[in-house]
Amino acid sequence: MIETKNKLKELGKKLRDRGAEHQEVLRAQLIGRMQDQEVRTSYSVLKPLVFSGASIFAVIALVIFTQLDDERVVAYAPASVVSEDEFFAGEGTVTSDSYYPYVTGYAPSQNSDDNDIVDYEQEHGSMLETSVTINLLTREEDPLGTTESLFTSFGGHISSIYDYGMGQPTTITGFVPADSYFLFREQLRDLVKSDRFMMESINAQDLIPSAISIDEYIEDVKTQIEKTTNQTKKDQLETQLENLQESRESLDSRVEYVTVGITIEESSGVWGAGDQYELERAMYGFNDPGFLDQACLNVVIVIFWFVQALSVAFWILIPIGIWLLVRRKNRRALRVLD
Amino acid sequence: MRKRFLDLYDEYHPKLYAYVLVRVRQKQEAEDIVQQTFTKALDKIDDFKPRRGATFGSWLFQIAKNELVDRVRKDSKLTFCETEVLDEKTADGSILNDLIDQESWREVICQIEKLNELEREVITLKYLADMSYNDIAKITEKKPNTLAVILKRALEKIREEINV
Repeated sequence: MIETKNKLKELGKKLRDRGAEHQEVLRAQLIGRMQDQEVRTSYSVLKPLVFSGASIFAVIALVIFTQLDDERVVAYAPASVVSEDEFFAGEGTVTSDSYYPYVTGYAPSQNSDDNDIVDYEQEHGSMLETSVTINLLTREEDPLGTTESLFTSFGGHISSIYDYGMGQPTTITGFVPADSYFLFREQLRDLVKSDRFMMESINAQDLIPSAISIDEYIEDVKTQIEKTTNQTKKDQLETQLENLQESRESLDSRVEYVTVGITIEESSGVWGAGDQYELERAMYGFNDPGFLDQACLNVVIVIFWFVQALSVAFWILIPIGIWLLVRRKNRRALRVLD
Repeated sequence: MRKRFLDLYDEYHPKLYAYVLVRVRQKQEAEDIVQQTFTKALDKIDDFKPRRGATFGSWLFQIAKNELVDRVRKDSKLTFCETEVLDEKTADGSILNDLIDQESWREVICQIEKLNELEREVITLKYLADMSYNDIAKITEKKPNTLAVILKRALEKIREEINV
């Protein structure tokens, strides 16, 4: 077979060489038309791939951006009863001045039972979202169990809520009386400790810094007075204390309320599934899902991504693999005949 | 990638010439067809758009095939093997008479002519015109796997007849 091929190749060469003379003659005839002419000889695979990839990326980006929640700023009116919904808890009726559908589209429905704890259930629309049970404890049981209650119990109120969605921090801004500020802060930290999804950073705005520092200073001086045994020093400290207290009193007349901004951030949500719940948790408290619920959610998420991976494999990887195999087979077959 | 037409001309002229020559067996006619092919290629160059698998060579040979369809004498049933090739007085201008000064070459060409149309086409394109498999696949509209089978069969037939 090899000899046959070689013979044919040799014959072909002879025939091709025979055309040399005509090649020159024809070249001379057509040179005027040929010399400036260029021809695109190859097909760029990269360009269609780049355009396809860019199109897909643009679509994905568009989907993501349209899913981003708009900034939701809700003017909070604690004094007004926006909804007449009432919920029953135990023996008493608890109405919340601040019950307000602050997040559009998340209007909760409520159930009530004879238990002390009133449950709110919210259903969200994707397979990753599960129904969330939100507990609102009665005032009798835990008046400081929620951020909202925390403000009101100290004579303050919430003024605004910023919820950007998509896992971004939620900021609650409110007012508390200046003289209640430190206790308020302690209680808030206790509340945050009990919720593993919640973190806080208190940014006391518009607070005259000296008020805070004076209070701390006053406490510090009082402690020193108690500890010192040196009478001379004690006298000096008491004089200092009087001065500080005078200063503090003068500040009191000017500072009535402290503006407090609380940032609620999701600390360790599972695959980001907890981000849409932090606001409700911040307002009404949160009943952490148990280990079993969390495990079930994890399983659902894993299955979801597994299905996605299968889809990619089926629609993209398998066709590419088949194409490569066929191409390799063809090349091998033809190489034998060269 | 872009190439100068002149370079493509120099690359494909010998191949086209050999292909057409074997098909028409007449020097003058072969030269006319080759000239016509390149002239038409220049006229239609703006229409040529390389797609995956399509090359300038396959496009050029498609033009040549169309020319051959018009030119080949359909009433001519004589093959090369049947003509008196060694007699100068026959003088039909056949280049093959001039070329084939050895019995072995004549025998090879005879066997090529005895193949069926597709086998003859593939053998001619591959070994006489020295075209790539990609171009041959495009010209014959056959898959590479099929080409492999056709080539192998054709080579075996030729080998059996000429014992090479």
